[in-house]
Amino acid sequence: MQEELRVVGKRVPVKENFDKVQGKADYCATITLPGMLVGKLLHSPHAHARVVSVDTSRAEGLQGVKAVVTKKDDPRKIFTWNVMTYQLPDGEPQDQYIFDDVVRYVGEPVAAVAAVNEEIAKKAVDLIEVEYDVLPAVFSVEDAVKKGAPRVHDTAENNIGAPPTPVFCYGDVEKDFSESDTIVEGVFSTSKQSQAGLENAGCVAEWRNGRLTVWSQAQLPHMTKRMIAQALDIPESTVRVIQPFAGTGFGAGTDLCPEPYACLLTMKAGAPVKVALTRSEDLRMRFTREHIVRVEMKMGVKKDGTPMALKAKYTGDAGAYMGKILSGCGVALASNITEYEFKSMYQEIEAIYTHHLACGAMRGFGGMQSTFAREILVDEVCEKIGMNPIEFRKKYHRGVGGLGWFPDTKISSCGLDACLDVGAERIGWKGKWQGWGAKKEGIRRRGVGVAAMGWLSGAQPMLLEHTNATLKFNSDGTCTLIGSPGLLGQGVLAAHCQIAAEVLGIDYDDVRPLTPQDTDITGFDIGTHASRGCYCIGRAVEKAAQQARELFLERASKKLGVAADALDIKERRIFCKDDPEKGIEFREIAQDTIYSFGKDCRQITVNATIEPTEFAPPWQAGFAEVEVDTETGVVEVIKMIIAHDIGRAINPTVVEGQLEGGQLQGIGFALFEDIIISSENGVNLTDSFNKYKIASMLDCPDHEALLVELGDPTGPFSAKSCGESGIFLQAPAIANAIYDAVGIRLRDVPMTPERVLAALKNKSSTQTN
Amino acid sequence: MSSRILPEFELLPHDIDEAVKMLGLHQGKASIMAGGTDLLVMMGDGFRADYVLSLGNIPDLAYIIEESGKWLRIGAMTTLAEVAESKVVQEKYTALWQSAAQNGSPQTRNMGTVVGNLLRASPSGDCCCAVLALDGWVVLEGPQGRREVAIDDFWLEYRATARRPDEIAVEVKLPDVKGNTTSAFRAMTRTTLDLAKLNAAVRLDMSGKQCENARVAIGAVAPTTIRVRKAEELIRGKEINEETLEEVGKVVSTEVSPIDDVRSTAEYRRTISGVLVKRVIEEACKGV
Amino acid sequence: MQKIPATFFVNGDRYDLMIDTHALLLEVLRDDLGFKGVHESCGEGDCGACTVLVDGVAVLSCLTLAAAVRGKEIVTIEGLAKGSDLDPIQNAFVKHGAIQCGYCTPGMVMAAKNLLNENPHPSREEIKKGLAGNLCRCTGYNKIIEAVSDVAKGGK
Repeated sequence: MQEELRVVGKRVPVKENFDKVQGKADYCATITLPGMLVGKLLHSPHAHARVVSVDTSRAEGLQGVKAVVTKKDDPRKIFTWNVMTYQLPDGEPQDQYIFDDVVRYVGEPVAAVAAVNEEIAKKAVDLIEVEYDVLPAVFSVEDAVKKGAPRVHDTAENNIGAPPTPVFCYGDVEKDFSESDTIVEGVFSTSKQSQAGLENAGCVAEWRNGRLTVWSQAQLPHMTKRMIAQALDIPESTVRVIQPFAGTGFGAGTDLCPEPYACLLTMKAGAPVKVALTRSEDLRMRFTREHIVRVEMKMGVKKDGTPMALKAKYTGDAGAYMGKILSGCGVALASNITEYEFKSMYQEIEAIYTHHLACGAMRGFGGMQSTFAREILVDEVCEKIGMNPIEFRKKYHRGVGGLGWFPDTKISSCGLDACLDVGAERIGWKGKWQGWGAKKEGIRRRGVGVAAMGWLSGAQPMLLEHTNATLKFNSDGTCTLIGSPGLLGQGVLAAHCQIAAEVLGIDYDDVRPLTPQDTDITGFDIGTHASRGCYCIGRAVEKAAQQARELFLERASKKLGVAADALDIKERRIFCKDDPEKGIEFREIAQDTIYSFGKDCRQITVNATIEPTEFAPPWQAGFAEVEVDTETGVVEVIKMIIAHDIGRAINPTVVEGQLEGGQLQGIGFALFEDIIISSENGVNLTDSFNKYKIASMLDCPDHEALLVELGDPTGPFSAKSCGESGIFLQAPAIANAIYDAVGIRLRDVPMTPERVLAALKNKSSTQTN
Repeated sequence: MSSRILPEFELLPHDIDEAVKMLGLHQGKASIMAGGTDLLVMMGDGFRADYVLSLGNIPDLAYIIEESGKWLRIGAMTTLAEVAESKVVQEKYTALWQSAAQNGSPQTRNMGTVVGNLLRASPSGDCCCAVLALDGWVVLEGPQGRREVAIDDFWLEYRATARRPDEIAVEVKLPDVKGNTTSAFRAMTRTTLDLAKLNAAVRLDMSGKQCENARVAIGAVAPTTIRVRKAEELIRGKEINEETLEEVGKVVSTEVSPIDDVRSTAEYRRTISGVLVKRVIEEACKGV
Repeated sequence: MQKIPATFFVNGDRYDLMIDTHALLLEVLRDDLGFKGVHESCGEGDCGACTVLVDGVAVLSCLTLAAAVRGKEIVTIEGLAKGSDLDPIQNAFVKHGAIQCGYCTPGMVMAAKNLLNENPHPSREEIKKGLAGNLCRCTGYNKIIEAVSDVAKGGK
């Protein structure tokens, strides 16, 4: 690892936070434009219906209404809210229209209104008369595939969005199962978590002089721009996407939501329109976490634990549209390959349409679900063969050079052993884990559990991860960093500025990131998803900074009469390595590039492009200590520790923040977060923060994220990712801790007191029988 | 832009008489707002009133007065935070104190009121449960003057109260408690700040180890918060020990009629109701 | 639409305006007076993003009728800094990385202000109770607790 870093590794403040802490930062929610109209949506009350007619005459007649749009205004271009589709050569399925003839989930928009204020817009929405031909609907994947079940899409027979398809299999699992000494298996289910950022879904769109500007919470801005153009059937160059600060993310911004409706409205009204959803609309309309509703997994090992075969099937409940369910299931499967040295693996995915709200992506995409199943089964295997569960994980995880998540990828670094060590130490594993079958007494019983995994730093090589970063230097030696990771609050811009400053030998304060970000200014970038911001974009920034450094040295070399390779830059000064006294201020060179009276003006502006191929897995170990109340089934998390091999923390404060935030979302996923949709009528019963609960400070147990910094040869300053890693291990570690405490194996998330108590009852009745 | 549109006609009376007159004028069409933490949420969920009558401009409705040997009186605009900060409530009416101190967040406690909680008549209302155990009375002011309704008769059915459309609830009063009376409250929630999936409160009049009289209230298991009279009878005149508690637990689960909702299941509520009541009694006994 | 005259003292300044009788404090502060740091999220009192101080007490502006708080002293996030000097709580939030997306931040800071006004040296548990009404989806709360503890201990 590089020595003497002055900026990288420091806990410097995130620059945007000064505006945020004063209430001065602009979000879609706070943006106001002159003459801006308020847009409101009319939602279908039915889960499945043919839209026979939409009468907007009364709404249009209301004073103050400027536009009403319905399917008549839709250019009828098939598209998908999932803008990630452009990252795959063949794309993901596209099956949406802005307004279709059929509504397929409760809450699907049927019309939209723009008016001079919110009251009028709401009144106008109430005045729209829709005639529905209500059709039977289907609310579970089991019912959806039954013969004669109502069809969600005419094109999908038996509602099969994708039939069972084996992917990335290797070896002969049947043979290896037959040679296994111990086999465990289970069927697991996971919930439909909501990203639930505090800012509700919203956007502003303005059609002016033949250009469409959209202020969006997009995480993938350039592809958002392309998708909006596709849906509206206008040239892509007509569309400009601006990313103000977003009060949400965690995957939510990888899908469109209100954008198409706001765009149709502004194009008809000729004035800017804001569509800001309420919390209830957000929860009913925003694509949720990829809903891998069922994971069937089977695992075989030798007596000594040697992993032999793993077989799994991931069933996605797509909901009304395919969204990201296929890639979600695909990543569940692929990321499951990275962890252990199984001799053979056979995994398949399938996706089924239902009349549920469709799903997109959330932090931990796919890896949440496969990790939950796998890490519980590993625990079961360990008990059967009498092995310490930490020992198993240390012994059989894949290492450097081993197979990664995608065929032909190799693991570039692995610090899992260190993670397991520091995590075990911090939770006090030695004293607290009393071996398999330890007797516990009393109403409240404690237990500890462990889980582990390896993730990725960007979704390459499966997905296109093309990135550009630009540095534009000013005459005072400072520079503007022009990129478009989105402003979700992930803090990655601080890391980018640190990387650039370190390479250039200038100060952190000398590098200013562009905010808000604007596709008219920024080069192409995928944006933020798949934990790529620091690793992928950071590499582009590093490359741009290196190129700029060379240009500065070249210019200084002419000034100083010294060869460029004999020069170095530190603390804003360019100097001779052999004679440090001889040198010139960085800013003097910068000034000379712009105000050169020697007829050599050339502002230094450098763009660097990166298409990473390595996936640099961050590794992590999670440890939970819980207390289970055997009379009520309530599980209290006493302590939750996650230890992360993140290569190097460019900004430890930011890294900890990402991991700790993921941790609490992971606890929510494990214990209480759940979108509940009525199986009678498809109504979302959890459409408020009163009903869909996320953790408050009082639900925040003693929790910590520990950093293990052993470096990765491919990352910028040897960094790997940290964006998603925090969220994976709470559910499996807590499940394993519950087993340690009270001897029940839970297979469904969230692990509510209701489920825990039922399992306890079930256990005691089987024992007495 | 807001998630709700209030009715355009806001009534802002300056005293109780004016308020009662306004209510008379708009028979049944006005909703009364104290702290706003319930009414405005209901309006967000689609509830529509033609008028909202705000008590915000009426002075002197926020008080906690102890009439020694008679009543503790809590005004209609007394906030949950004020109740939670009251030493008298904490020491003598512990169940109410707990139900107020654990109710919602600091902000909603600064705004919400005990009386508002009773008027909302939610079966899971935390203060409802405590006031029922503490044998409270609701004081109503109408065109015919004042009347008082025992809490036992106050909730008629799901979210319906004995308040007439032209009446205003001006206070709740609790009978004075002696040194041998103890009470406790507990709620079970999904996350800490949530409406109760189940709550329970008890008031025990003790004589040494023996329970002379008991009131047991349980919420979120029926259309209104209810008393479990069979449980009360079981402990009345008896020593509270493991055996009696065991019996109480059993009887409670046969007296409840819970439903499934997003917060829990009927089965779970039924199973746990006995455990919760048992634990609340145990806790109250510690307070003697 | 019925309008009534109203006076508010926001961040030390007097504002006289006509408000809708049914307007919420949030709407008046944000839409009429331009204090855009007053954020709305749940609109139902579950998240605390819209927290402001009214006569020194933290309330939810999304559940407060503006007409009912006429004549009162209101402090929003915009009123904390003195000129370009941030309030110690604001500095601590930046220093400790207690901010990510920042959407909850104004409400969180106001709740912290309220807490520290009432209790200048809160314990960790008291901080958790005092800020429990403010949801943050990003941080996992540790860094917010650290920031408030730091101010409570006199940190800058």
